[in-house]
Amino acid sequence: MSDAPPILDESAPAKDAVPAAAFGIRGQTQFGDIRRRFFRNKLALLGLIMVGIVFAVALFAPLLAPYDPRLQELGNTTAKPSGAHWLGTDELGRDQLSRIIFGSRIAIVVGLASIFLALSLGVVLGSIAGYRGGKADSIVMRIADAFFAFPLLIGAILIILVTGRGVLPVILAIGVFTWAVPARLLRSSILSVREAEYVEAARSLGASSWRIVTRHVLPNSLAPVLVYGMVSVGTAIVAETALSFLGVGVKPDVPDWGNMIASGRQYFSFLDYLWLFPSLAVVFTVLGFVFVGDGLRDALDPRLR
Amino acid sequence: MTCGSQPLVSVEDLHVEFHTDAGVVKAVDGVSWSISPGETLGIVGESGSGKSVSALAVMGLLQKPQAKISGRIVFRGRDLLTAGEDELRSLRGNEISMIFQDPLSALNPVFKVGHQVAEVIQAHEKIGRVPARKRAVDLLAEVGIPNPKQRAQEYPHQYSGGMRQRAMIAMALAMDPALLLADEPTTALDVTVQAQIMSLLRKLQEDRGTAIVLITHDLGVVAGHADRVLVMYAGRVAETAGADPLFHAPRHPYTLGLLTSLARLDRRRTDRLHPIPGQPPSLIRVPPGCPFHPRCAFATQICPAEVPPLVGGAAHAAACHHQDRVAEARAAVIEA
Amino acid sequence: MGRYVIRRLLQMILVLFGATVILFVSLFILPGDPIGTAAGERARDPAVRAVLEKRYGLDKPLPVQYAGYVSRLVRGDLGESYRQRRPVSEILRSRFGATAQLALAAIVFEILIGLTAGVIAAVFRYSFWDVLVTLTTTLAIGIPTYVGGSILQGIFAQNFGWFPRSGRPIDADPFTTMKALFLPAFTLASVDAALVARLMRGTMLEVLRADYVRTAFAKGLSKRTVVLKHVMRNSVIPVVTYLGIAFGGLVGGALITEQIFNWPGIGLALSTAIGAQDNPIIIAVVTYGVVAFVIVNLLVDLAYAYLDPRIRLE
Repeated sequence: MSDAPPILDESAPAKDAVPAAAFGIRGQTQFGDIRRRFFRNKLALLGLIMVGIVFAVALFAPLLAPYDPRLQELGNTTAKPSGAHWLGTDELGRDQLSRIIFGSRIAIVVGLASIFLALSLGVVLGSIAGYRGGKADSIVMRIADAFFAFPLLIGAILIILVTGRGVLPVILAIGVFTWAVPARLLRSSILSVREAEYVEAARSLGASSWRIVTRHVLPNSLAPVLVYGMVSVGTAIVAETALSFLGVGVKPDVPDWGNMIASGRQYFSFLDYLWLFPSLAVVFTVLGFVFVGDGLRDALDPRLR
Repeated sequence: MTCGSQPLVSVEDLHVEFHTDAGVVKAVDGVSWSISPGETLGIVGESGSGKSVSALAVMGLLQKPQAKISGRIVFRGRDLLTAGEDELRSLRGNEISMIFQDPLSALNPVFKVGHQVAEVIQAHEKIGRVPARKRAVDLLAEVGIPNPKQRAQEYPHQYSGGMRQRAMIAMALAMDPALLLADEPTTALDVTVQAQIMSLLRKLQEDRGTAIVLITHDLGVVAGHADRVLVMYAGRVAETAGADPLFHAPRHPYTLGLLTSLARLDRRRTDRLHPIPGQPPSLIRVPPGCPFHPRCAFATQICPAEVPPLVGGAAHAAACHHQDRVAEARAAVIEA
Repeated sequence: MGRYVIRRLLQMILVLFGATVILFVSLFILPGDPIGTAAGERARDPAVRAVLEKRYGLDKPLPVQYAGYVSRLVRGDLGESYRQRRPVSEILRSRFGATAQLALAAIVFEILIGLTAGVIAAVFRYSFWDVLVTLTTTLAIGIPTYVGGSILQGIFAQNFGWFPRSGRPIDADPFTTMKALFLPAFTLASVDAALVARLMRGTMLEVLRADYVRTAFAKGLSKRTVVLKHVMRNSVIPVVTYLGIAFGGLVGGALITEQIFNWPGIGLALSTAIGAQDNPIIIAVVTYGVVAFVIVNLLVDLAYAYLDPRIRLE
């Protein structure tokens, strides 16, 4: 007379028991899920194509542009679009199409570099604040608040005032006044992940802080930061062109969309093509990044759709 | 306790399906139950057994486009599934109430507790703010919250877990409903607080004659407080019986498995625990025939082939092809 | 609540301290020639140099210089514009009203349009309105202000003639003023209104799934009550926070908008100053913009604490 009820003997499975595989349970990684959702989103795909086009144009600019963007044809200034110059020429006789093509380089370079800078700063400082907590957290967050306090354009003007115009100052200016947002995002992400039970489990198994941060905390908290980064490249490009528009961006002769729009506005309403085409270029690029960013966000958290 | 002539609520052949990207989720697959005035019905099952969904269906709280519902839910002569939204709204909180599992997330964090209780009263009665508030304070006192006048001015995050659940009960019983659906009311609480909440519910039930549907996965809660029990598995009814007969003479292998898997004080500490092998199925791919058969020690060829009907009678019924073998095994266990 | 206010006030002072330090460092320490930065091209004039050297006390130790800088800020002594030969504070004060008017109108637009669009999109999810809102907001975000403003100007002012193309009427009746104000305010508000609409929609969708919303329905409240009372109250919180941050964007956006529509506010003064390299004005606007922003942020935080009682315990 054993104490274990004889019927529940685990070593003898029930006859005709159906194996789990018959239920069609596939292993699905989280990453595969995200990728699948992203590619099903038509708008996101469109955005990806748009961004790809801009990248390609920037990369192959010298091959694509019919003229040297700095070449001035002083006898042919402000010419309307024609066979020779598809998008016309500006007030110094430079070919618009070539300038727009080369302008993509500045846009992409500044957009990516400034956001890379902002994300790097933000991730490092945000993880210190989020993971260490306590004093480090307060200090970093107060500094972030102070930088938060500077509206981007105003702060950028301040920096350019000191350093002068140029590509590097613009990258620096945008990066420096953007890092606070990803830092804060990452910090709150980390704060919620840090208390999660799987982190506690890892810690109790003797994992070092470094390992916990890189293996468990960061991967789970980086998602919102990455989405923010992707969308921010678009806003960084807008900021860059806005700075050039105001006269505190890259140097005036550089073929840059903002520069072109600023000088083109002088001819507002009678030679609209001068500012309209670079504007379209900006809108096209930014929308591409926005679509991709939105697509990423929806793929990572589909419930919000 | 069963003064039951006419049942208060009668759920007849309820089917609830959710159409998702991954497939059709059959949350409730042909479930029927009824409850009489003043009775306590326990609905027991693991997570994913469909027990909460059937309660939400009674309240009409399932989102229409995603959920496909069929069957009948008869309350005082009316079929709730065909009732209009206005009619359902006049019933909710008024004649049929529901309390939920996690009282912290179930209470609105930005409104004071007293206000939230008074809100139910004002939704169903033409009554001024001041008298409504006074009744809210009285209700808080009735559910055992100390200093009710002061506490009514506080926010949910200032309450302890047990107090929040009491507040929810106050909200649910404010209009003296005939039926209270309690969805895992004690799961989020400490064990000692659980006991307090359950005895509070019993006292209120005695005072007001409310029928309670107690939805839980905790057999202990059911054993102490339910008159009748419904055991659900994979969206279907496995067994239904009075509480005593269920615990002493279960007829379904699942019920038997649940009971024998409990850790017991009267066994030797070194005895191994006997959980039911396997996992509950995903409601998208419910096993054919009897849904429990992959985990069942009594299964034979007929089990995956035919869905077992509920046999037994009004007092005690089970959906199993081999109830006789279960009875034998039961006898063996009792001897052990 | 009172203790929270005091705490936030103290924090604000700290942030102001940090901001002024950053400004001080950028203006006086980082550049090789602080007088060059302060005076622009006028720095070549030795007389000017002498005056400025004395004013800023460049031979004194840094903390003293900083103290001098802060005291000048507090007193409102911003130096003189060399182009216009007037004290900067006077120039800015005369322009302040125009910008304030523009900013207020923009905020009204943002709240009205943004909130309504967001609520409609959330409540009528997946419907035509939702799609429309999503599309327009995407466009509004993607099209930079200077492009959008120019286009609006071109279509509605130039072509249709509904609104004046630029400029601000002086001493005119309210109707004329509003007509002139409409396009610039709308342009200024558009990006933020779009972001507010999206944020509101997203937050409301999340809140609609919350347990306490289910409880509210279970109590028998009507859908209208649940949405307008329970959902809104909780959804509005992040939006209020965002609006506070957006104020900073307004300061920057006003720059562009005022330039496009020739609106004589601080932003136009700033962009003219940039073109003319009139540094005292630039520095002054930047500084006060920051201070205003910090104060507005404090007000927003207080409003946030009022709306969400859980914050007061932090």
